[in-house]
Amino acid sequence: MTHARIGSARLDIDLPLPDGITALFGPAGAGKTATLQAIAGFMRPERGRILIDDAIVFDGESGVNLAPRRRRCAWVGARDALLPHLTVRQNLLFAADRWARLERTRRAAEMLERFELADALEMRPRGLTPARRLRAEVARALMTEPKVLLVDDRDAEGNAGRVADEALLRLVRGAFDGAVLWVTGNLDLCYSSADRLALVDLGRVVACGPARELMEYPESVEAARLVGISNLYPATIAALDPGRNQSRLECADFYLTGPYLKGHFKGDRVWVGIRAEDVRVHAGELEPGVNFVAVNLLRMTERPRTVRLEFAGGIAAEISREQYAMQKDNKGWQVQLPPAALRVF
Amino acid sequence: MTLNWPQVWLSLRVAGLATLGALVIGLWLGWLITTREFIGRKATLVVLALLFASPVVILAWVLLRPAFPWQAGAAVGVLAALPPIVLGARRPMLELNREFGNAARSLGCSEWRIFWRVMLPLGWRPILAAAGVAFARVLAEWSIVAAL
Repeated sequence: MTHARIGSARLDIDLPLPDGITALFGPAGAGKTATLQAIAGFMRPERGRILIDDAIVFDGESGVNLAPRRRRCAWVGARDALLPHLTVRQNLLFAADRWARLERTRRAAEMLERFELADALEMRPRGLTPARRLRAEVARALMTEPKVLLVDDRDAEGNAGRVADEALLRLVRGAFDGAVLWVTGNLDLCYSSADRLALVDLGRVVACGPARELMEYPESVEAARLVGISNLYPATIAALDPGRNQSRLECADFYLTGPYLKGHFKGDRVWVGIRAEDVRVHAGELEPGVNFVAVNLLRMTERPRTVRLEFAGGIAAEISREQYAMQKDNKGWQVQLPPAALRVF
Repeated sequence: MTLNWPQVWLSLRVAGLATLGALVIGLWLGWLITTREFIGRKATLVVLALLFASPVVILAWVLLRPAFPWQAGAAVGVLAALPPIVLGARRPMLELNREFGNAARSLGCSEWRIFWRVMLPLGWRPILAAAGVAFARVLAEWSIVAAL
């Protein structure tokens, strides 16, 4: 079992790390890098306990604090750390000095093959693209047969475009079956490639669970905000109807019909959320249906594939450009918040 | 003008030995200062700065006169050569440690191995420059002592 409980002045993290890829997502300054460094042993927390594969590597009470090189933690930081004076192959061999020369060479060749770096093995890190440097570094980290793989986010560090992608995570999954903690600022990557998702903000874990479930059905309004649900409204439950599997929610400016809410009572204060992509937009003169709200358009932002419309009352909708082209001459506007897409917490 | 070759050779020997000795101690001390938090780290830096500011070999000669063989000069020269080496190598060591130190540690490298396999191959240029400064300093001070 791998589990990190880390406490310090600005950090209060409790994070189980089962085998498989756990993505760590949160805004800048949330404590993602600090969490990684505490697990790897570069930063000493004030309290807590860190278990790596059932071995205690840090315990605040008894004062156990294993040196980073004895933790069997592979760590890939946010900055390039391939040794620039060695070739890719030598970098991998550098990490494998535990084995005899023949075994070392065989393992390095195997790892390079696995990470599709066979054509780059005699190249220096400088000659590689940032994405391949990261790939080589992950391969080097896995050479030591670690118990845990920790990878920090590299997209923020002035690298153009996304450095970590689905292909790399697929390779990692094939090469390593232990626990992986991957810091990323890319929610699409969390959805497509991570088994579990941990959302952190202000130094604590807001939510942690299966990635897709957490992104589809966040448990709290903070988690909803972090996974990109931008339309959030405080509401009061006006009626509950288990027979028709319905509920009536009273928001500040409008009423909504939602699914029946288990475990809530009439009169409860709740939050209603809906993704901007799930909001449908109609012309003002259309006959109103379920959850139609008449709104005024405030501003419009064009994106490469979509158009984001912001309406009065804090409702935002993101629709495709074709849809927008059909609607742009509307005199009035209505938005529809489909009951199935509503999330209540 | 003819050079006094035995004297020149002696000066070079003193400065060379002092620089070598200071390199061994200085690199170890520099690596310790950059990678470890220990009590007296700041004090060590202050002592080094004081050594940098004082003419160590000349002072030693003044204090130990009349008995001041060249071996004593070399020994004191180590103290004179230490500050330029430690202070000169500190910055590159700090940068190399920040960039590669933690990655190498998580790969299971000992500090010793990091020093030999990472720090020296990547940081020898600034260290060589610092050693040059140290050599010149000991040579200059020893020359003054020898001339007096």
